[in-house]
Amino acid sequence: MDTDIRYLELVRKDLVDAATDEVVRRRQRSHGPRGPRWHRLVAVAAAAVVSAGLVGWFATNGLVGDEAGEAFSASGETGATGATGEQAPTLVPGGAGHNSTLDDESAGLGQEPPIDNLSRVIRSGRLSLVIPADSFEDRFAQAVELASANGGFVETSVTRRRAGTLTVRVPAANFDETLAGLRALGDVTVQRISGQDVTAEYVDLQARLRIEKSRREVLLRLMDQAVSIEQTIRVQNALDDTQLRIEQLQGNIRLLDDRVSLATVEVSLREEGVEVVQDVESASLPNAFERSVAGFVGVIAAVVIGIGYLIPLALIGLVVWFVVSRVRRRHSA
Amino acid sequence: MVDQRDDVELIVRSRDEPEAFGVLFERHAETLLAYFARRTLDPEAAAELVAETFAQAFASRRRFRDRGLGATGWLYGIARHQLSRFFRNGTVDMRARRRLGMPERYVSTQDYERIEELIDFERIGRAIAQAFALLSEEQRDALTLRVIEGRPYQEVAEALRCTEETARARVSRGLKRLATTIDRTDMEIERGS
Repeated sequence: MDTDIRYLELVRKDLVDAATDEVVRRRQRSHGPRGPRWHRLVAVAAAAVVSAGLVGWFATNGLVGDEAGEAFSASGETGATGATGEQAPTLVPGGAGHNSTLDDESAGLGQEPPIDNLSRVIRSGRLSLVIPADSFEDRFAQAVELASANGGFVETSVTRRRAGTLTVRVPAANFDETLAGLRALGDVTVQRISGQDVTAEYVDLQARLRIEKSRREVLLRLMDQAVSIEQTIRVQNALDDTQLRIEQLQGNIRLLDDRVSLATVEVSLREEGVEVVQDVESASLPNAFERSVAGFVGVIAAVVIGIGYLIPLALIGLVVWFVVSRVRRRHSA
Repeated sequence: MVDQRDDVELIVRSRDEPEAFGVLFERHAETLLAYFARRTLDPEAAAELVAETFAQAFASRRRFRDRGLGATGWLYGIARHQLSRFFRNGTVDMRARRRLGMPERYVSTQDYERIEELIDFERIGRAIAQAFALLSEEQRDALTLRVIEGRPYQEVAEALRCTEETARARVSRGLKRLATTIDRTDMEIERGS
Protein backbone atom coordinates (compact mmCIF):
# COMPACT_ATOMS: atom_id res chain seq x y z
CA MET A 1 0.00 0.00 0.00
CA ASP A 2 1.29 3.42 -0.95
CA THR A 3 1.22 5.02 2.52
CA ASP A 4 3.66 5.48 5.37
CA ILE A 5 0.96 5.17 8.01
CA ARG A 6 1.22 1.69 9.49
CA TYR A 7 -2.28 1.83 10.99
CA LEU A 8 -3.83 2.13 7.54
CA GLU A 9 -1.79 -0.81 6.24
CA LEU A 10 -3.06 -2.98 9.10
CA VAL A 11 -6.67 -1.93 8.57
CA ARG A 12 -6.33 -2.69 4.85
CA LYS A 13 -5.05 -6.17 5.67
CA ASP A 14 -7.93 -6.74 8.16
CA LEU A 15 -10.50 -5.69 5.56
CA VAL A 16 -9.05 -7.94 2.86
CA ASP A 17 -9.00 -10.82 5.38
CA ALA A 18 -12.65 -10.17 6.21
CA ALA A 19 -13.51 -10.12 2.50
CA THR A 20 -11.62 -13.40 1.95
CA ASP A 21 -13.44 -15.05 4.88
CA GLU A 22 -16.75 -13.94 3.47
CA VAL A 23 -16.00 -15.40 0.04
CA VAL A 24 -14.85 -18.69 1.58
CA ARG A 25 -17.96 -18.91 3.79
CA ARG A 26 -20.23 -18.22 0.84
CA ARG A 27 -18.58 -20.92 -1.26
CA GLN A 28 -18.86 -23.38 1.63
CA ARG A 29 -22.54 -22.54 2.02
CA SER A 30 -23.32 -23.09 -1.65
CA HIS A 31 -21.13 -26.20 -2.20
CA GLY A 32 -20.45 -27.38 1.33
CA PRO A 33 -21.45 -30.63 3.03
CA ARG A 34 -24.98 -29.36 3.43
CA GLY A 35 -25.44 -29.59 -0.32
CA PRO A 36 -26.34 -27.06 -2.97
CA ARG A 37 -28.87 -24.33 -2.34
CA TRP A 38 -31.75 -26.08 -4.10
CA HIS A 39 -31.45 -29.00 -1.67
CA ARG A 40 -32.04 -26.62 1.20
CA LEU A 41 -34.94 -25.03 -0.62
CA VAL A 42 -36.55 -28.46 -1.05
CA ALA A 43 -35.91 -29.23 2.63
CA VAL A 44 -37.47 -25.91 3.70
CA ALA A 45 -40.48 -26.49 1.43
CA ALA A 46 -40.94 -30.02 2.81
CA ALA A 47 -40.67 -28.73 6.37
CA ALA A 48 -43.26 -26.05 5.58
CA VAL A 49 -45.69 -28.62 4.14
CA VAL A 50 -45.21 -30.99 7.10
CA SER A 51 -45.67 -28.09 9.56
CA ALA A 52 -48.80 -26.98 7.72
CA GLY A 53 -50.12 -30.56 7.81
CA LEU A 54 -49.47 -30.90 11.53
CA VAL A 55 -51.04 -27.53 12.30
CA GLY A 56 -54.05 -28.44 10.13
CA TRP A 57 -54.39 -31.81 11.82
CA PHE A 58 -54.29 -30.30 15.29
CA ALA A 59 -56.68 -27.57 14.19
CA THR A 60 -59.26 -30.08 12.97
CA ASN A 61 -58.78 -32.86 15.51
CA GLY A 62 -57.62 -31.08 18.62
CA LEU A 63 -54.84 -32.38 20.84
CA VAL A 64 -56.74 -35.50 21.95
CA GLY A 65 -56.89 -38.71 20.00
CA ASP A 66 -59.04 -39.42 17.02
CA GLU A 67 -62.33 -40.93 17.98
CA ALA A 68 -62.12 -43.34 15.06
CA GLY A 69 -59.27 -45.07 16.81
CA GLU A 70 -61.48 -45.86 19.74
CA ALA A 71 -63.94 -48.07 17.90
CA PHE A 72 -64.24 -51.52 19.37
CA SER A 73 -64.13 -54.69 17.38
CA ALA A 74 -67.46 -56.22 16.52
CA SER A 75 -66.11 -59.73 17.06
CA GLY A 76 -67.28 -61.56 20.19
CA GLU A 77 -69.43 -58.75 21.43
CA THR A 78 -72.91 -59.00 22.81
CA GLY A 79 -75.23 -56.29 21.70
CA ALA A 80 -78.33 -54.90 23.28
CA THR A 81 -80.62 -52.16 22.16
CA GLY A 82 -83.26 -50.53 24.26
CA ALA A 83 -84.90 -52.81 26.77
CA THR A 84 -84.15 -56.01 24.90
CA GLY A 85 -80.52 -56.45 25.93
CA GLU A 86 -79.74 -58.44 29.03
CA GLN A 87 -76.51 -56.62 29.83
CA ALA A 88 -77.78 -53.17 29.13
CA PRO A 89 -81.21 -52.60 30.48
CA THR A 90 -83.01 -49.51 29.25
CA LEU A 91 -84.04 -47.36 32.14
CA VAL A 92 -86.84 -44.94 31.37
CA PRO A 93 -87.49 -42.43 34.13
CA GLY A 94 -90.93 -41.32 35.03
CA GLY A 95 -91.49 -38.78 32.33
CA ALA A 96 -88.33 -36.85 33.06
CA GLY A 97 -87.14 -34.89 30.07
CA HIS A 98 -90.00 -35.95 27.85
CA ASN A 99 -92.18 -32.89 28.22
CA SER A 100 -93.13 -32.46 24.60
CA THR A 101 -94.44 -29.01 23.91
CA LEU A 102 -96.47 -30.19 20.98
CA ASP A 103 -100.17 -30.30 21.30
CA ASP A 104 -102.91 -28.16 19.90
CA GLU A 105 -102.85 -25.89 22.93
CA SER A 106 -99.13 -25.18 23.16
CA ALA A 107 -98.29 -25.27 19.48
CA GLY A 108 -101.54 -23.96 18.15
CA LEU A 109 -102.41 -20.87 16.18
CA GLY A 110 -101.35 -17.63 17.84
CA GLN A 111 -99.47 -19.42 20.60
CA GLU A 112 -96.01 -17.85 20.56
CA PRO A 113 -93.37 -19.77 22.54
CA PRO A 114 -92.15 -17.93 25.63
CA ILE A 115 -89.13 -15.72 24.96
CA ASP A 116 -86.92 -17.46 27.54
CA ASN A 117 -87.78 -20.75 25.89
CA LEU A 118 -86.74 -19.74 22.37
CA SER A 119 -83.23 -21.15 22.46
CA ARG A 120 -83.03 -24.78 21.34
CA VAL A 121 -79.67 -26.53 21.60
CA ILE A 122 -79.01 -30.24 21.12
CA ARG A 123 -76.26 -31.22 23.49
CA SER A 124 -74.15 -34.31 23.01
CA GLY A 125 -70.92 -35.66 24.32
CA ARG A 126 -68.53 -38.51 23.79
CA LEU A 127 -66.17 -40.00 26.35
CA SER A 128 -63.57 -42.71 26.06
CA LEU A 129 -62.42 -44.05 29.38
CA VAL A 130 -59.69 -46.45 30.39
CA ILE A 131 -60.66 -48.25 33.59
CA PRO A 132 -58.64 -50.53 35.94
CA ALA A 133 -58.34 -54.24 35.12
CA ASP A 134 -61.24 -56.47 36.20
CA SER A 135 -63.52 -53.53 36.87
CA PHE A 136 -65.49 -53.40 33.64
CA GLU A 137 -68.74 -54.88 34.95
CA ASP A 138 -68.77 -52.67 38.05
CA ARG A 139 -67.99 -49.50 36.09
CA PHE A 140 -70.52 -50.35 33.41
CA ALA A 141 -73.19 -50.84 36.07
CA GLN A 142 -72.16 -47.54 37.71
CA ALA A 143 -72.55 -45.76 34.38
CA VAL A 144 -76.06 -47.17 34.00
CA GLU A 145 -76.93 -46.16 37.58
CA LEU A 146 -75.54 -42.70 36.96
CA ALA A 147 -77.81 -42.27 33.95
CA SER A 148 -80.78 -43.38 36.02
CA ALA A 149 -79.87 -41.15 38.95
CA ASN A 150 -79.78 -38.16 36.61
CA GLY A 151 -83.23 -38.90 35.26
CA GLY A 152 -81.96 -40.56 32.11
CA PHE A 153 -81.72 -43.97 30.52
CA VAL A 154 -79.40 -46.13 28.43
CA GLU A 155 -80.47 -45.95 24.83
CA THR A 156 -78.09 -48.51 23.37
CA SER A 157 -75.14 -50.52 24.54
CA VAL A 158 -72.55 -52.75 22.96
CA THR A 159 -70.24 -54.80 25.14
CA ARG A 160 -67.65 -57.50 24.90
CA ARG A 161 -65.71 -59.17 27.70
CA ARG A 162 -63.64 -56.30 29.02
CA ALA A 163 -64.80 -53.34 26.98
CA GLY A 164 -68.00 -51.76 25.78
CA THR A 165 -69.88 -48.72 24.64
CA LEU A 166 -73.16 -47.32 25.88
CA THR A 167 -75.26 -44.41 24.72
CA VAL A 168 -76.98 -42.57 27.53
CA ARG A 169 -79.85 -40.09 27.22
CA VAL A 170 -80.30 -37.68 30.11
CA PRO A 171 -82.33 -34.48 30.57
CA ALA A 172 -80.35 -31.56 29.09
CA ALA A 173 -80.30 -29.85 32.49
CA ASN A 174 -78.39 -32.81 33.95
CA PHE A 175 -75.95 -33.14 31.05
CA ASP A 176 -72.94 -31.56 32.78
CA GLU A 177 -73.53 -33.44 36.01
CA THR A 178 -73.82 -36.74 34.15
CA LEU A 179 -70.68 -36.05 32.16
CA ALA A 180 -68.75 -35.22 35.34
CA GLY A 181 -69.94 -38.44 36.98
CA LEU A 182 -68.98 -40.52 33.95
CA ARG A 183 -65.56 -38.91 33.76
CA ALA A 184 -64.89 -40.02 37.33
CA LEU A 185 -65.29 -43.67 36.32
CA GLY A 186 -61.84 -43.88 34.70
CA ASP A 187 -59.03 -42.08 32.90
CA VAL A 188 -60.40 -39.96 30.08
CA THR A 189 -58.58 -40.54 26.79
CA VAL A 190 -61.08 -38.81 24.52
CA GLN A 191 -63.68 -36.22 25.35
CA ARG A 192 -65.80 -34.45 22.81
CA ILE A 193 -68.68 -32.15 23.71
CA SER A 194 -70.87 -30.43 21.16
CA GLY A 195 -73.91 -28.21 21.16
CA GLN A 196 -75.98 -27.91 17.99
CA ASP A 197 -78.17 -24.82 17.92
CA VAL A 198 -81.46 -25.72 16.23
CA THR A 199 -83.39 -22.62 17.30
CA ALA A 200 -83.85 -21.37 13.74
CA GLU A 201 -85.11 -24.77 12.55
CA TYR A 202 -87.45 -24.98 15.54
CA VAL A 203 -88.89 -21.52 14.97
CA ASP A 204 -89.37 -22.27 11.28
CA LEU A 205 -91.27 -25.51 12.02
CA GLN A 206 -93.48 -23.72 14.54
CA ALA A 207 -94.30 -20.99 12.01
CA ARG A 208 -95.15 -23.49 9.29
CA LEU A 209 -97.32 -25.41 11.74
CA ARG A 210 -99.26 -22.25 12.62
CA ILE A 211 -99.86 -21.54 8.94
CA GLU A 212 -101.09 -25.07 8.28
CA LYS A 213 -103.43 -24.91 11.26
CA SER A 214 -104.77 -21.62 10.07
CA ARG A 215 -105.39 -23.20 6.68
CA ARG A 216 -107.18 -26.11 8.38
CA GLU A 217 -109.50 -23.65 10.19
CA VAL A 218 -110.37 -22.00 6.88
CA LEU A 219 -111.01 -25.36 5.21
CA LEU A 220 -113.22 -26.48 8.08
CA ARG A 221 -115.33 -23.32 7.66
CA LEU A 222 -115.50 -23.96 3.90
CA MET A 223 -116.60 -27.51 4.61
CA ASP A 224 -119.53 -26.17 6.63
CA GLN A 225 -120.48 -23.91 3.73
CA ALA A 226 -120.16 -26.60 1.03
CA VAL A 227 -123.49 -27.15 -0.71
CA SER A 228 -122.63 -29.83 -3.26
CA ILE A 229 -120.94 -33.22 -3.09
CA GLU A 230 -118.22 -32.07 -5.46
CA GLN A 231 -117.41 -29.07 -3.26
CA THR A 232 -117.40 -31.26 -0.19
CA ILE A 233 -115.00 -33.78 -1.77
CA ARG A 234 -112.60 -31.08 -2.98
CA VAL A 235 -112.53 -29.40 0.44
CA GLN A 236 -112.14 -32.76 2.15
CA ASN A 237 -109.09 -33.61 -0.05
CA ALA A 238 -107.48 -30.28 0.74
CA LEU A 239 -108.26 -30.82 4.41
CA ASP A 240 -106.64 -34.27 4.34
CA ASP A 241 -103.47 -32.87 2.75
CA THR A 242 -103.31 -30.11 5.32
CA GLN A 243 -103.83 -32.52 8.18
CA LEU A 244 -101.04 -34.73 6.83
CA ARG A 245 -98.67 -31.79 6.68
CA ILE A 246 -99.66 -30.75 10.22
CA GLU A 247 -98.86 -34.22 11.50
CA GLN A 248 -95.53 -34.29 9.69
CA LEU A 249 -94.58 -30.93 11.17
CA GLN A 250 -95.72 -32.01 14.62
CA GLY A 251 -93.61 -35.15 14.25
CA ASN A 252 -90.56 -33.14 13.29
CA ILE A 253 -91.07 -30.74 16.17
CA ARG A 254 -91.57 -33.61 18.58
CA LEU A 255 -88.35 -35.22 17.35
CA LEU A 256 -86.46 -31.97 17.72
CA ASP A 257 -87.94 -31.41 21.12
CA ASP A 258 -86.88 -34.86 22.19
CA ARG A 259 -83.31 -34.29 21.02
CA VAL A 260 -83.22 -30.91 22.76
CA SER A 261 -84.74 -32.01 26.03
CA LEU A 262 -82.62 -35.14 26.23
CA ALA A 263 -78.89 -34.85 25.80
CA THR A 264 -76.90 -37.79 24.45
CA VAL A 265 -73.68 -39.09 25.94
CA GLU A 266 -71.76 -41.90 24.30
CA VAL A 267 -69.35 -43.60 26.67
CA SER A 268 -66.68 -46.11 25.71
CA LEU A 269 -65.17 -48.13 28.55
CA ARG A 270 -62.15 -50.32 28.17
CA GLU A 271 -59.99 -52.02 30.76
CA GLU A 272 -56.30 -51.31 30.94
CA GLY A 273 -54.37 -53.51 28.55
CA VAL A 274 -57.28 -54.07 26.20
CA GLU A 275 -56.19 -53.15 22.72
CA VAL A 276 -58.18 -50.58 20.81
CA VAL A 277 -59.17 -52.58 17.78
CA GLN A 278 -59.86 -50.94 14.48
CA ASP A 279 -63.06 -51.84 12.77
CA VAL A 280 -62.01 -54.66 10.43
CA GLU A 281 -65.54 -55.45 9.36
CA SER A 282 -65.10 -53.79 6.01
CA ALA A 283 -61.44 -54.30 5.20
CA SER A 284 -62.17 -55.21 1.61
CA LEU A 285 -60.14 -53.95 -1.35
CA PRO A 286 -62.73 -51.40 -2.54
CA ASN A 287 -63.13 -50.20 1.02
CA ALA A 288 -59.37 -49.95 1.40
CA PHE A 289 -59.27 -47.87 -1.78
CA GLU A 290 -62.02 -45.59 -0.46
CA ARG A 291 -60.13 -45.20 2.80
CA SER A 292 -56.90 -44.42 0.99
CA VAL A 293 -58.65 -41.76 -1.10
CA ALA A 294 -60.24 -40.36 2.05
CA GLY A 295 -56.83 -40.39 3.75
CA PHE A 296 -55.23 -38.60 0.80
CA VAL A 297 -57.94 -35.96 0.74
CA GLY A 298 -57.69 -35.67 4.53
CA VAL A 299 -53.95 -35.01 4.41
CA ILE A 300 -54.36 -32.42 1.64
CA ALA A 301 -57.19 -30.79 3.59
CA ALA A 302 -55.04 -30.73 6.73
CA VAL A 303 -52.18 -29.09 4.79
CA VAL A 304 -54.55 -26.50 3.30
CA ILE A 305 -56.03 -25.75 6.73
CA GLY A 306 -52.53 -25.54 8.19
CA ILE A 307 -51.46 -23.11 5.47
CA GLY A 308 -54.44 -20.98 6.42
CA TYR A 309 -53.08 -20.83 9.98
CA LEU A 310 -49.45 -20.38 8.96
CA ILE A 311 -49.87 -17.62 6.33
CA PRO A 312 -50.95 -14.89 8.79
CA LEU A 313 -48.23 -16.02 11.22
CA ALA A 314 -45.67 -15.92 8.41
CA LEU A 315 -46.86 -12.46 7.38
CA ILE A 316 -46.51 -11.21 10.95
CA GLY A 317 -43.04 -12.77 11.12
CA LEU A 318 -42.11 -11.13 7.82
CA VAL A 319 -43.23 -7.70 9.05
CA VAL A 320 -41.32 -8.14 12.33
CA TRP A 321 -38.21 -9.30 10.42
CA PHE A 322 -38.50 -6.34 8.04
CA VAL A 323 -38.86 -3.81 10.87
CA VAL A 324 -36.02 -5.36 12.91
CA SER A 325 -33.68 -5.49 9.91
CA ARG A 326 -34.49 -1.86 9.02
CA VAL A 327 -33.86 -0.73 12.59
CA ARG A 328 -30.60 -2.70 12.78
CA ARG A 329 -29.48 -1.33 9.42
CA ARG A 330 -30.25 2.21 10.56
CA HIS A 331 -28.31 1.69 13.76
CA SER A 332 -25.33 0.15 12.01
CA ALA A 333 -25.26 2.72 9.16
CA MET B 1 0.78 -2.11 -11.36
CA VAL B 2 -2.02 0.42 -10.85
CA ASP B 3 -5.54 -0.99 -10.94
CA GLN B 4 -7.43 0.81 -13.71
CA ARG B 5 -10.92 -0.17 -12.59
CA ASP B 6 -13.21 2.58 -11.25
CA ASP B 7 -14.51 2.59 -7.67
CA VAL B 8 -17.97 1.31 -8.54
CA GLU B 9 -16.49 -1.67 -10.34
CA LEU B 10 -14.18 -2.34 -7.40
CA ILE B 11 -17.13 -2.38 -4.99
CA VAL B 12 -19.06 -4.78 -7.22
CA ARG B 13 -16.06 -7.03 -7.82
CA SER B 14 -15.16 -7.09 -4.09
CA ARG B 15 -18.07 -9.49 -3.55
CA ASP B 16 -16.01 -12.23 -5.20
CA GLU B 17 -12.54 -10.70 -5.25
CA PRO B 18 -11.35 -9.69 -1.74
CA GLU B 19 -8.34 -7.72 -3.04
CA ALA B 20 -10.64 -5.31 -4.89
CA PHE B 21 -11.80 -3.81 -1.60
CA GLY B 22 -8.17 -3.40 -0.62
CA VAL B 23 -7.58 -1.33 -3.76
CA LEU B 24 -10.60 0.84 -2.91
CA PHE B 25 -9.19 1.33 0.60
CA GLU B 26 -5.79 2.35 -0.78
CA ARG B 27 -7.39 4.99 -2.99
CA HIS B 28 -9.41 6.73 -0.30
CA ALA B 29 -8.01 5.86 3.14
CA GLU B 30 -5.47 8.65 3.50
CA THR B 31 -7.78 11.37 2.14
CA LEU B 32 -10.48 10.19 4.50
CA LEU B 33 -7.99 10.16 7.37
CA ALA B 34 -7.16 13.82 6.66
CA TYR B 35 -10.89 14.61 6.48
CA PHE B 36 -11.47 13.11 9.93
CA ALA B 37 -8.26 14.50 11.42
CA ARG B 38 -9.09 18.10 10.45
CA ARG B 39 -12.54 17.82 11.97
CA THR B 40 -11.75 15.95 15.16
CA LEU B 41 -8.22 17.33 15.69
CA ASP B 42 -7.60 13.94 17.28
CA PRO B 43 -5.25 11.55 15.37
CA GLU B 44 -6.41 8.41 17.24
CA ALA B 45 -10.10 9.14 16.73
CA ALA B 46 -9.46 10.00 13.08
CA ALA B 47 -7.65 6.70 12.45
CA GLU B 48 -10.41 4.70 14.17
CA LEU B 49 -13.07 6.58 12.22
CA VAL B 50 -11.36 5.57 8.96
CA ALA B 51 -11.33 1.91 10.04
CA GLU B 52 -14.97 1.99 11.14
CA THR B 53 -16.10 3.83 8.00
CA PHE B 54 -14.48 1.24 5.73
CA ALA B 55 -15.77 -1.65 7.86
CA GLN B 56 -19.28 -0.21 7.57
CA ALA B 57 -18.81 0.33 3.84
CA PHE B 58 -17.65 -3.25 3.47
CA ALA B 59 -20.64 -4.59 5.43
CA SER B 60 -23.12 -2.59 3.38
CA ARG B 61 -21.45 -2.78 -0.04
CA ARG B 62 -24.12 -5.17 -1.37
CA ARG B 63 -26.67 -2.44 -0.85
CA PHE B 64 -24.53 0.10 -2.73
CA ARG B 65 -26.37 1.70 -5.64
CA ASP B 66 -24.68 4.35 -7.74
CA ARG B 67 -27.11 7.28 -7.48
CA GLY B 68 -24.90 9.69 -9.40
CA LEU B 69 -22.56 10.48 -6.51
CA GLY B 70 -20.22 7.61 -7.32
CA ALA B 71 -18.43 5.53 -4.72
CA THR B 72 -16.76 8.61 -3.20
CA GLY B 73 -20.10 10.21 -2.39
CA TRP B 74 -21.30 6.97 -0.85
CA LEU B 75 -18.11 6.58 1.19
CA TYR B 76 -18.21 10.18 2.47
CA GLY B 77 -21.89 9.74 3.32
CA ILE B 78 -20.90 6.92 5.67
CA ALA B 79 -17.97 9.00 6.93
CA ARG B 80 -20.22 11.97 7.78
CA HIS B 81 -22.56 9.66 9.65
CA GLN B 82 -19.69 8.17 11.65
CA LEU B 83 -18.37 11.65 12.40
CA SER B 84 -21.73 12.90 13.67
CA ARG B 85 -21.99 9.80 15.89
CA PHE B 86 -18.52 10.55 17.22
CA PHE B 87 -19.43 14.16 18.05
CA ARG B 88 -22.70 13.05 19.61
CA ASN B 89 -21.34 10.16 21.72
CA GLY B 90 -17.77 11.25 22.26
CA THR B 91 -16.46 7.83 21.15
CA VAL B 92 -15.87 6.07 17.84
CA ASP B 93 -18.35 3.33 17.05
CA MET B 94 -16.87 -0.18 16.84
CA ARG B 95 -19.87 -2.25 15.81
CA ALA B 96 -19.00 -2.76 12.14
CA ARG B 97 -15.41 -3.80 12.94
CA ARG B 98 -16.63 -6.21 15.63
CA ARG B 99 -19.16 -7.75 13.25
CA LEU B 100 -16.41 -8.40 10.73
CA GLY B 101 -14.15 -9.80 13.42
CA MET B 102 -11.49 -7.15 12.81
CA PRO B 103 -8.90 -6.87 15.62
CA GLU B 104 -8.49 -3.64 17.54
CA ARG B 105 -5.52 -1.65 16.15
CA TYR B 106 -3.53 1.03 17.95
CA VAL B 107 -1.96 4.18 16.53
CA SER B 108 1.82 4.17 16.97
CA THR B 109 3.83 7.28 17.87
CA GLN B 110 5.10 7.57 14.31
CA ASP B 111 1.59 7.28 12.92
CA TYR B 112 0.35 9.84 15.44
CA GLU B 113 2.86 12.42 14.27
CA ARG B 114 2.18 11.62 10.63
CA ILE B 115 -1.57 12.14 11.13
CA GLU B 116 -0.90 15.42 12.94
CA GLU B 117 0.87 16.58 9.81
CA LEU B 118 -2.30 15.86 7.86
CA ILE B 119 -4.26 18.12 10.18
CA ASP B 120 -2.06 21.09 9.21
CA PHE B 121 -2.57 23.04 12.42
CA GLU B 122 -1.08 26.18 10.91
CA ARG B 123 -3.74 26.35 8.22
CA ILE B 124 -6.48 25.37 10.68
CA GLY B 125 -5.28 28.13 13.02
CA ARG B 126 -5.41 30.63 10.21
CA ALA B 127 -8.89 29.42 9.29
CA ILE B 128 -10.06 29.87 12.90
CA ALA B 129 -8.59 33.36 13.09
CA GLN B 130 -10.26 34.30 9.81
CA ALA B 131 -13.58 32.84 10.94
CA PHE B 132 -13.30 34.59 14.31
CA ALA B 133 -12.73 37.93 12.59
CA LEU B 134 -15.94 37.45 10.62
CA LEU B 135 -18.06 37.26 13.79
CA SER B 136 -19.89 40.27 15.18
CA GLU B 137 -18.27 42.12 18.10
CA GLU B 138 -20.96 40.85 20.50
CA GLN B 139 -20.39 37.23 19.43
CA ARG B 140 -16.58 37.58 19.65
CA ASP B 141 -16.85 39.00 23.20
CA ALA B 142 -19.26 36.27 24.26
CA LEU B 143 -17.03 33.52 22.82
CA THR B 144 -13.90 34.99 24.39
CA LEU B 145 -15.48 35.10 27.85
CA ARG B 146 -17.19 31.73 27.67
CA VAL B 147 -14.95 29.51 25.48
CA ILE B 148 -11.46 30.98 25.86
CA GLU B 149 -11.67 32.22 29.47
CA GLY B 150 -14.14 29.52 30.55
CA ARG B 151 -16.35 31.81 32.66
CA PRO B 152 -19.87 30.77 33.74
CA TYR B 153 -22.82 32.24 31.84
CA GLN B 154 -23.81 34.40 34.82
CA GLU B 155 -20.47 36.22 34.67
CA VAL B 156 -20.58 36.40 30.86
CA ALA B 157 -24.01 38.04 31.11
CA GLU B 158 -22.82 40.53 33.75
CA ALA B 159 -19.74 41.45 31.72
CA LEU B 160 -21.81 41.94 28.55
CA ARG B 161 -24.65 43.66 30.48
CA CYS B 162 -27.30 41.38 29.12
CA THR B 163 -29.45 38.49 30.36
CA GLU B 164 -28.06 34.95 30.64
CA GLU B 165 -30.35 33.81 27.81
CA THR B 166 -28.94 36.47 25.51
CA ALA B 167 -25.38 35.48 26.47
CA ARG B 168 -26.14 31.84 25.67
CA ALA B 169 -27.69 32.79 22.34
CA ARG B 170 -24.61 34.86 21.35
CA VAL B 171 -22.22 32.02 22.24
CA SER B 172 -24.34 29.47 20.41
CA ARG B 173 -24.74 31.57 17.25
CA GLY B 174 -21.03 32.47 17.31
CA LEU B 175 -19.94 28.83 17.58
CA LYS B 176 -22.28 27.80 14.78
CA ARG B 177 -20.97 30.48 12.47
CA LEU B 178 -17.40 29.64 13.39
CA ALA B 179 -18.00 25.96 12.64
CA THR B 180 -19.58 26.72 9.27
CA THR B 181 -16.70 28.99 8.25
CA ILE B 182 -14.04 26.48 9.36
CA ASP B 183 -15.81 23.65 7.59
CA ARG B 184 -15.89 25.67 4.37
CA THR B 185 -12.17 26.41 4.77
CA ASP B 186 -11.52 22.68 5.39
CA MET B 187 -13.19 21.78 2.17
CA GLU B 188 -11.12 24.37 0.34
CA ILE B 189 -7.99 22.87 1.90
CA GLU B 190 -9.03 19.34 0.85
CA ARG B 191 -9.75 20.49 -2.67
CA GLY B 192 -6.35 22.23 -2.79
CA SER B 193 -4.44 19.26 -1.38
